[in-house]
Amino acid sequence: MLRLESVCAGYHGLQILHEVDLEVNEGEIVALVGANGAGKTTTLRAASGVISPTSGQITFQGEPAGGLRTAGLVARGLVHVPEERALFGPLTIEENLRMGAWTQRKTPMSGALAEVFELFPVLADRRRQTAETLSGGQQQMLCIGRALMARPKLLMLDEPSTGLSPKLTWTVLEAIGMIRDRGVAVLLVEQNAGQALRLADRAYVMESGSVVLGGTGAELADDDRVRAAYLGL
Amino acid sequence: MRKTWIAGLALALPLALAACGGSTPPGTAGAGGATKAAGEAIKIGSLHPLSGSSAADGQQMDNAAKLAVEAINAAGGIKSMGGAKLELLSADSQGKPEVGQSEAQRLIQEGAVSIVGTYQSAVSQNVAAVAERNKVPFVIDVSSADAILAQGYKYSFRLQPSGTVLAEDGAQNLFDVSKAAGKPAKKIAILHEQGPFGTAIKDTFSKKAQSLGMTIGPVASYDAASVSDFTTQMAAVKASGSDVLMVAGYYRDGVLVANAVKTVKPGVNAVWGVANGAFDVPTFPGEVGAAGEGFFDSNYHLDGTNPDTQALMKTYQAKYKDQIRTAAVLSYDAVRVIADSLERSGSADPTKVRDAIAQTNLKSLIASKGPITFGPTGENEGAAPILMQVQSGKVVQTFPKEFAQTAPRYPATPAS
Amino acid sequence: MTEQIPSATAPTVAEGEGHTSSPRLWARVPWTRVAIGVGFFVVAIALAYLRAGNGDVVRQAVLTGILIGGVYGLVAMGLTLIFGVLDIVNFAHGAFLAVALYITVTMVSRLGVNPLVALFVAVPVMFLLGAGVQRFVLAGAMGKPLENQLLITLGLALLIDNVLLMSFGPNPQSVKLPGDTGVQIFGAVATVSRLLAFGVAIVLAALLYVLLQRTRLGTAIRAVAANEAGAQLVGIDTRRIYMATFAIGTACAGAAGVLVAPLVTIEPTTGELFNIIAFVVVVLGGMGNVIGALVGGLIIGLTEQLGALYFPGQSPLLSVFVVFVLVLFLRPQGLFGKAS
Repeated sequence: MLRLESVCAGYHGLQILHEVDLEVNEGEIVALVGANGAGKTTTLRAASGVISPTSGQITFQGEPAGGLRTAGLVARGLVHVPEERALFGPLTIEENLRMGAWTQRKTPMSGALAEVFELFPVLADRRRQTAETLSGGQQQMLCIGRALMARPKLLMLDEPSTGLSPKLTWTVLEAIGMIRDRGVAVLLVEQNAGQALRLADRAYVMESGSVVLGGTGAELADDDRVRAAYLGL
Repeated sequence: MRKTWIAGLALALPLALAACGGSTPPGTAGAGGATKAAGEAIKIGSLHPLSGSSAADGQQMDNAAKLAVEAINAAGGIKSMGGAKLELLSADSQGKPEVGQSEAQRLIQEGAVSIVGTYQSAVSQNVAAVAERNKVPFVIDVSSADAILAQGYKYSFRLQPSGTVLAEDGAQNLFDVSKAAGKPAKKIAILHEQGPFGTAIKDTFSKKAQSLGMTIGPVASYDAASVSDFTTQMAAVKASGSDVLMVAGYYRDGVLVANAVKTVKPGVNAVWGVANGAFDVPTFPGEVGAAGEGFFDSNYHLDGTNPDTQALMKTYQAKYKDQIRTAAVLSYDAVRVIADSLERSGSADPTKVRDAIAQTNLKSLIASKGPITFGPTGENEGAAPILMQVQSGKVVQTFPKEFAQTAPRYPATPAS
Repeated sequence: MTEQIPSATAPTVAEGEGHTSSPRLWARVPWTRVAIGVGFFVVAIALAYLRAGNGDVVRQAVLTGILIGGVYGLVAMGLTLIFGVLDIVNFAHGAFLAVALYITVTMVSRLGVNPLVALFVAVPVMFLLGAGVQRFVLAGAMGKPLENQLLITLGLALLIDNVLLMSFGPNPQSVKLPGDTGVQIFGAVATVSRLLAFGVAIVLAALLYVLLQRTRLGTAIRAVAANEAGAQLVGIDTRRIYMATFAIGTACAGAAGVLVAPLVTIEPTTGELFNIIAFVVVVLGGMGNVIGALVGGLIIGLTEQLGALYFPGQSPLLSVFVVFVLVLFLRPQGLFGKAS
């Protein structure tokens, strides 16, 4: 569904990604793990149109996607939830969710809202509360819920567990699993490699802007190098 | 880059427009002061606000200066200099002192032997300094601040009556007219714009009025640039029981005063403008309608009873399709003064012209108590305000008798 | 692959304020601040009464202040919306208002219609003009340093002023509302034109508020103002929103221009009069806050009129200045602004 081939990208002339190859297929969770600065966030940004690749190919559902504007990609079903969450602080939970459905004029709003509230009941209780007054965990759930309102085919999540307690992290990851079960593919970037690898169907390891390992989640979780470098074992 | 191009265009365009409306391209070089050969045009600078909030008057003044030059040239130019023609160099002060200063400098560098202008006192202040430094005479058509001629400058002269004369005569006129009508003014409320002009008028008027036995109160001031309504001030006047309201301000605020008077009906015997920028302007009655009926203005004014002034009014109307106002007639007079001085000095040397100006004795197109003559500080000793009133929708001259078109109507309680 | 998991509900975490059961628009109104403001004015009016010693005069000041303040609010709302969403300080706002003044003058003199009818022409024209200006002139300056924007909007203001000067000449013009008389209200008096200006301004302000709070477009505008990156991530075309917002702001200036046309002398530079007041109101009310602009307008209007009673010899601007400095000293972000 999403394919990056030999993608190079960077900021202001500084090259971060060096010939990155990865792919995400329908109905699977793919984890992208690696240390700080390995280029994971940059990879997501290149895919979602926030930055343009300097070389290489990005295709989404067979169509070229490299260098296109974010808004257009959202309409095609590629939705990115950034690490900084980018919520609309003064707007309520419900308004944030409604904005998430901006590209979905034809879909009835109530159905989509109900699905999100089913997934994250705590948001339903507070639907008129403004986003900036929510706790970290609730904000993360809202971000993901907002992204789901766009009926994504592929959801890209950048470090959703940042700043969350282990219990909350588990809740969020579990929700991600349920999202996959509903037919949405997920590209999950995580520093919290252990849980991510357990959740994912497949995974890649990035170092210094390139993909150095790829395999199923279980394979990589058992890999000695991975265990040493990222799992603290 | 697109944005710098757009910004540059946005700034350059109005500057170019202002330049087109104003200055002529630089003429032949030559520092001011060279004597001109016979036949070469003598340059006179005309510096007025051709853009900005006073553009209406500024453009009229420049137009009138042009008419004066044309008239003098058509009558044979400066005969004592072999029929030398005059050339007007127009410049835009934009109403800003710094711009006025640099434009005056430029006009002098282009060979102007005298400068006429400028309308705003702050601008004239700067130009007077430039004139003194360069020893080029500066004839002020309109600017009221006393301070300009209180610095011992030898090269600046003023045609309009000074602020002090305007304010004192304004108080005296009120005293005389109200007494003659059998209802002497007792308590005068004052509404003035807060700048140096309005404040000076208020101060001098109050002093003179009190010396004549009248009392002053209440006094309210406002910022002419931002005021939008006077109903509160008018309510205060109404509550105070004053029998006359004196107003010193500009055109826009004068219109607002009339509207507030009509709305609140303060019940005064008269609304008495002193050097008011609205009440004696021909468009005022039309703009405010019945609200302005009976308003007085003690102000310098073109003399509608003078046949030469009437001829100028006709010429201006025919050429510019607009009714000439007093400020422009003063500019016309200013050019006449310079031409007359050139005629007497027989030389284009600015210092000799200056000396000739100081000896001027010329009948004015403005209503005055005597011909244009300049005192030791450069003030026009013949200058004096007359009293105008809005009667039946027109501004008419009412006092003193030699200029009156009709008698003043006092009291003139504003229309109910 | 998953272990046995607990149920999928997040643990409840102790929260701050929870507005869970107030769906109305006025739930968002900060009632304590409104109460303080009203209290402040009761005191101010009492003081004015003591100073002036005359109830009629104070009543007049309050009435005039509120009526003028409403129109100030409308002008400022457009300006603050533009700042809140586009981060642009629009120095050309007053010039746009002046364009609407001349549209009104032209329509009244050519078609002989009631000046208010000009609303139906001026508002759409100004909307389109604003959209065009944003798209072709300002779009390049977005996100660039502040100096660029100042330069461009200042240049634009100069350009508009001079085009008006060239097209219509410098002579002052005026329009009159037919049947404009004084109306007695609670012992004070106001002209019909001023009452109408206030009434329509309030209606338009309410419409703007409803647009922003209740419509899809309005919510998107607020979303872009809150977080531009986030807006793009949900698929909003931020360029279109910027254009629409600037156009709405300019349309507000246009509406205000039509409403004040019978109340002012119309010259090419008349717009600048409102520019100064609009900026004071916007900063006082909190930059980017539309309610703040309306409240700020009322405050400035009242201060201007009551100030004429407190310090009769001084210009009312002094009181405006005092209030302005006082508010910013106590609350630098403005009355309704967000603490940064």
